[in-house]
Amino acid sequence: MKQLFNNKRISERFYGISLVAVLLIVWQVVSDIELVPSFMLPSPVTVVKAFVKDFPVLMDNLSITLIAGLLGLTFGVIAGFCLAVLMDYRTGLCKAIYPILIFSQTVPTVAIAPLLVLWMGYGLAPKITVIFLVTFFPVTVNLLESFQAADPDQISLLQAMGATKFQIFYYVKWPGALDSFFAALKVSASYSIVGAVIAEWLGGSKGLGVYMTQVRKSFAYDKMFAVIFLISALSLVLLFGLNIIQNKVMPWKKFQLEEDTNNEKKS
Amino acid sequence: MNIYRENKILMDRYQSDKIPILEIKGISKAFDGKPILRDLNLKLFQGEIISLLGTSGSGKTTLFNIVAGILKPDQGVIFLKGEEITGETGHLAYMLQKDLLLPHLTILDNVGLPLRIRGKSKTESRAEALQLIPKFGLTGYEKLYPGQLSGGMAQRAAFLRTYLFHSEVALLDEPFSALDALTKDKVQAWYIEMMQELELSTIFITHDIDEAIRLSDRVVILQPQTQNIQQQIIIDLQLRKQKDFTLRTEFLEYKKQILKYLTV
Repeated sequence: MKQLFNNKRISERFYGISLVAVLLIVWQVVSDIELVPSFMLPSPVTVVKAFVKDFPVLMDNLSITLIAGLLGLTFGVIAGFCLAVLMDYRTGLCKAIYPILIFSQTVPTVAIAPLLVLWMGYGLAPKITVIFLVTFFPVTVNLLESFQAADPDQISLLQAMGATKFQIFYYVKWPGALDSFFAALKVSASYSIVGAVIAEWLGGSKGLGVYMTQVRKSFAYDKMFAVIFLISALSLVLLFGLNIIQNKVMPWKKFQLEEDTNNEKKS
Repeated sequence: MNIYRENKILMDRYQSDKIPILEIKGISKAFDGKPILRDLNLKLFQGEIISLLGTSGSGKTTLFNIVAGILKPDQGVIFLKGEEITGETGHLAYMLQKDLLLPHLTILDNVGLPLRIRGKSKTESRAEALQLIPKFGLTGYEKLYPGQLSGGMAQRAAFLRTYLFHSEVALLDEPFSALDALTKDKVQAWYIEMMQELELSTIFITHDIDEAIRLSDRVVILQPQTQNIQQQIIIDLQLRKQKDFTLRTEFLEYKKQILKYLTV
C-alpha cells in the first residue's frame, strides 16, 4: 500500500517535471532562433549564467528582502491570530471589525505603498507595514472560519466536563483550525516575499526589489530573470519548509486522511 | 395481564423506600416561547439503567443538556445525591452518539481528557488512564490516534473517557446508534457488564424500543411537551436475564405497551 503510494507520488512528480523541462527547451529554442530578440527574452542558459555570475550580489540583496519578509510575516501572523481569537470570543467585536477587515483588502497594496514610504521613510518600517497588511488577512479569515466551524457537540461534551472557554479553545478550536492555519500560512508566506519586493521597488538602498529596479533600468533582462527566478525559488523553499513543519506538528493528519479516503471507497 | 396496572403498583413499591442518586424535579424549558419540556420529574436510583424513549422533538437531548448543566432550565431543580447541581457542569458523565474523540490526541490522552480539564497534570492523567486501559479492552491502542480505530474500539475509548469523569451517574445520548448491528450487540453486552462492575447509574436516550427493553431496568417514555405526561415501564430483571428474553411473549407485551404510550 505504502509502496504504491510512493510510486504514485513519484509518477505525479515525473509529469510535472517533464512539462517544465519541455517548456524550458521550447524557450531555449525560441531564443536561439531569435523568434523574440534576445535582449527582450534572454534564453534560459543566459539567465543561469547571469545568476551564477551575480550570485554574491543576489544573496546579499536576498538577505535584506528575507529579513523584511519574515519580520512582516511574523507580525502579520501574530496579529492575524490574535484578531481571529478576539473576533471568535466576542461576536459583537466580530461584527464591528469584519467590514473594516474586508475593506483593508480592497485597497491595492501598490497604491498605498508610496504613501507608507512618504509617512515612514525609506527604512524597514514601510516595508514591514506593507507585508503586514497583505499577510494578516488570510490568517485571520481562515482561523476565524475554522474556529466557528468547530463541532458544537464536541464543545458540549467539554462543557459537560466543566471546561473553561480557554480549555475549549485549547483542546477543540485551535487543533481543529491547525489545518487551515497552515493553509493560510502558506498563502501569507508567498505574499510576504512578493510584498517585500513591491515595497522595495518604491525605495530603499538594498533588497531584491531594489536590485530588480536597477537591472531593469539598465536593460539587463538576463539579470532581471535571474532575480525573478530567485524570488520564485524563495517562495517555494518557504512552502516546502512549512510543509515539513506541518507534518511534524500534525502527526495525526495522515490517519485522518486515510480514514476519509476509506470512507469514500465504501460509499 | 394488565401491565399498566401492575406497573403502577410496581412503580410505587419501587420508589417508596429508596433515595434517588439523581433527582430531576419540575424541569421546564422553552425555546423562543415554544415549550420543549414541561414540569418533568424523574428519579434515578443507585445502579439503575433508565432508557428515555420519545419521538423526535420530545426534548430528550434538551433534558440531557440541562441535567449536564450546559443549559439552564426555565424552572426546576436537579439534585445529585441530595445536593443541588442545577446549571452546574462537571458533575455528571456525559456521552454522545458520536465518539467525539479529539483527532489530534492519542487514545490515552483522549480518555484522560476529563482529568486534564479538572486540572490534573498530563503525567497524572496518563497514569490514571493507563490503569484502566486493560479493563476497557484497549491494550495496545494507547498510542494510536482515533483515526486509526474502528467504530467499536472508538466507542470503547469514549466509554472509558466517560468513566473517567469520575461521576456515579452517566448520561448517554444514543451511544450505540452509530455502530453496526453486530458490533452493537457486543458493545451493549460489554457495557452492561462494565456498568455493574463500576457501579454506575445510567440514563440513556435511544430510538430503539428493543434496545430499551433489553438494556434497562426502567423505560421512561417522553411524550410531546404539550401533553406533559410521562409513562414508565419497569422491566423485570429476572426476565431480562433469560437468554431467550427477546423471543418471549413478555418481551412483546412490553413492546406493545411502549408503542401504545408512544403513539398516544
